[in-house]
Amino acid sequence: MVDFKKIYVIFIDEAMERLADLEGGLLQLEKFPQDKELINTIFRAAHTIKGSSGGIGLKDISRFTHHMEEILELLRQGRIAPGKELITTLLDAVDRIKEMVESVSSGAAFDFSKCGDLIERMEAMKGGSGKSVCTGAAQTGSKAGSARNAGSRPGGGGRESLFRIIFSPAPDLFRRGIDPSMFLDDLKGMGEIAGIRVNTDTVPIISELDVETLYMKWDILFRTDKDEDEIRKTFEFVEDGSDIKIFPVTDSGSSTPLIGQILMEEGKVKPEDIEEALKSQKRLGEILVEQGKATERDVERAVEKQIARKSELFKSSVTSTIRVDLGKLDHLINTVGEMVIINSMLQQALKDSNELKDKKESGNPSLDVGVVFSQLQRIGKEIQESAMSLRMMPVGEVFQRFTRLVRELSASENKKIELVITGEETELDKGVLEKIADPLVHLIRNSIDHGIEAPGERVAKGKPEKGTIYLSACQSGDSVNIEVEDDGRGLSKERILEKAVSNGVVKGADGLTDDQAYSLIFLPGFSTAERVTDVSGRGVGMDVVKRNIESLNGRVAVRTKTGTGTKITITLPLTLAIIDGLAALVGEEVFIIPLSSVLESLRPDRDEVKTLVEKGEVVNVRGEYIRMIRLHEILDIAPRNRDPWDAIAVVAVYDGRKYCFLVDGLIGQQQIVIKHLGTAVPKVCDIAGGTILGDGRVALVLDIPGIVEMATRDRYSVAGGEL
Amino acid sequence: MGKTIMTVDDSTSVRQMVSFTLKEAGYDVMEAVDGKDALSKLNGTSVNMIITDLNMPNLDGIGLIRQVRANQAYKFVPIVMLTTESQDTKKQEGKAAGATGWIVKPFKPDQLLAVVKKVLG
Repeated sequence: MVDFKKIYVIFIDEAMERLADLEGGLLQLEKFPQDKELINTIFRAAHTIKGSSGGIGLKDISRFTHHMEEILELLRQGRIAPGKELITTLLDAVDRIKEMVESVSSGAAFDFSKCGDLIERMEAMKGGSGKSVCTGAAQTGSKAGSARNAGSRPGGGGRESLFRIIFSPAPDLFRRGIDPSMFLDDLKGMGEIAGIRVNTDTVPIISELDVETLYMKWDILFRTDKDEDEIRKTFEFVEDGSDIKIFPVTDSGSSTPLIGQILMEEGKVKPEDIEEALKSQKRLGEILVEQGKATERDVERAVEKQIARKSELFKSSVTSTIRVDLGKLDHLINTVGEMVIINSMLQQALKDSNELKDKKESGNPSLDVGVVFSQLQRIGKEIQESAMSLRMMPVGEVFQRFTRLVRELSASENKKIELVITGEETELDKGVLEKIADPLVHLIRNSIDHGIEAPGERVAKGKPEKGTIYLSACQSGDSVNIEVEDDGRGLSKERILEKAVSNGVVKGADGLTDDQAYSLIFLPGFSTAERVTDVSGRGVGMDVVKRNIESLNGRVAVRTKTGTGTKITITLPLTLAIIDGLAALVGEEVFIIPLSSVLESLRPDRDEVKTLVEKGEVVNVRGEYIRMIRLHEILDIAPRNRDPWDAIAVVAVYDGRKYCFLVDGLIGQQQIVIKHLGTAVPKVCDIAGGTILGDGRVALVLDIPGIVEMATRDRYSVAGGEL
Repeated sequence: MGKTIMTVDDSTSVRQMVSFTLKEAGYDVMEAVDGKDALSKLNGTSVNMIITDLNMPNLDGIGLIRQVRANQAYKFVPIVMLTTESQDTKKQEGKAAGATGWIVKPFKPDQLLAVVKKVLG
């Protein structure tokens, strides 16, 4: 049997991509209504969805998209103009298609009558350009080869169904000049062959094989909107002499055949009999209700749960896929090929050197093991890099969604806002990218709701009426920065403090610097929203954003200027698993400092270490005073050297500031694979994870932000103790 | 190169209609007035398909089909016969002789092309 889930998964993937194209295209079209190529792209996207959904029997989607396609066709012909109302209607239609596609993925039934209003709206759009359009649509309909549609339309039915065709042709078919593949071609013209299996059981051994005799049988799963008679007609020429069984099958996709199906296949009962029998059968829920064992509501709820479980089941069985640039894959394969060669070179080199050893001869082997090994190392690194690059996706895929978000939210808030996106080609690990979408939605919603002022207020302040939100991404080193910046009213320190104190988030507000005050918004239980709108201020707060990003080993920072705007910067690691690290000794333990934040290492002179009031211990590095953090104090380990001038200071940067970390010695730089410590260990804020060193020892990876926070935390009191 | 179809019919109008329809659709067409004429015109020439009437003087359709099938070179060439509703027995005979399929007269050009397409692939 054919796995329908598989077909659907491919369809869902494809449809979601096309829908994103559609959405993006429509939004672009609003800006560039004259762009013919853009209209063509949009049209093709709709056309593909229509075609592929129809092809796999998702008739509703196909039918609905058809209406959309008609409008797009009119657009393409220049008969109607892409006005705001039209774009809005089409965007709503895109949403509706999305819903339908989602219902396919969850397995829930979709009520097509929901589409009625949108179809009406779309039809009204068509009517808007006068009667000539209607005839135009009719013409294009017939021109575009819609004989297919015409065939399925009459009678209003045209629902697709699935048939199983067992075709056991007469063995003499070839002698009548009949090629059995012609029936398959014919079927393809009537619908979609969802699955096919050739039965070669009766093909004899070659010495007994008669080339003019047809030995094969076909078992075909066929999806069409035609009825059984029409399918049978295809086989008209071979009907007698051949055995052709055609019967409808249910579309459940279950892999075990039902009793009725088997009986039907064996020809014991007719399909009508089964249907009759099924009709007289009562549903379990009905029986239970009748017997008073359950109420109707119980049953309804149970059905809902069943659907929900089904969809979960579906999700879990769907492996998420990734589209990879072919060039990347080719590169990886090439490198693997090289590795194979080097592998055999290494073998040869080892053999050579062993032979030399055995003969106790002195002399140079033809291949030096060391040289080959270094090549192997290089290849290994290259393979690792290209394997990681397979997971990288451009952030644009996620960013594009926000154009729509901003358009709609600003309209509902009566604000004028433009979203400016830059750096959409920046690549991020797919896993990270997927998890970053929700926090970004929240940040952008905040900007729209709290940041950007109403047009009147903006004008009064001497700002342009239209607000701007900048969404940008850029790579720096092995991390990616994503910024959400608005030119709105900015955060108000007073209001934040007031709120924080009244919510009990902090005990007292005295002595907080601006930055410290602003970072209070990331604390749980904090929300300055004065009213709850449908945009933001409902439940999830910035603390969730922060937590989500930190779970990706990322960081959030906020910069704001009252009256001018707010900028929130998210810093994310390029990939999650592998980092370059600096192995350092603290006491007798080895710790890894992520190399991305390390600037340099030095041994300070005695007179370069000073203790300053307010700032604690500092090191003078070429005239710059850098705060010193004694790692042994934070980690509570007995150090080898208490005096900084005997130890080594590693200068690292975090959040734009430099810090000197005092360690006892440096081991070296190496690539490490970060392993999670597991759930058995409580979350420790100064440790990012563990890794295994080359010599088999376990080393902990330091979490620089956590350590900096620990070292600076006692500077102001926070309820709950964590910031 | 287009595919060649031979049409065999003693009725000029039917032959012309078939011929015209096929030529319009881009096929090369050979015409023969009866079975005998058809066999002599075939004689080694390569054709991709034969469309033949059943009732013809000299050599009828069934006879033509038998002889064509007997020739190694044309053993697997699709042969479609033109029949009328009342000729059901003839249809059986034709199939037994090795006809690929049939078209019921009267037919429209579209029907003809549909069958040609089906058979020629």
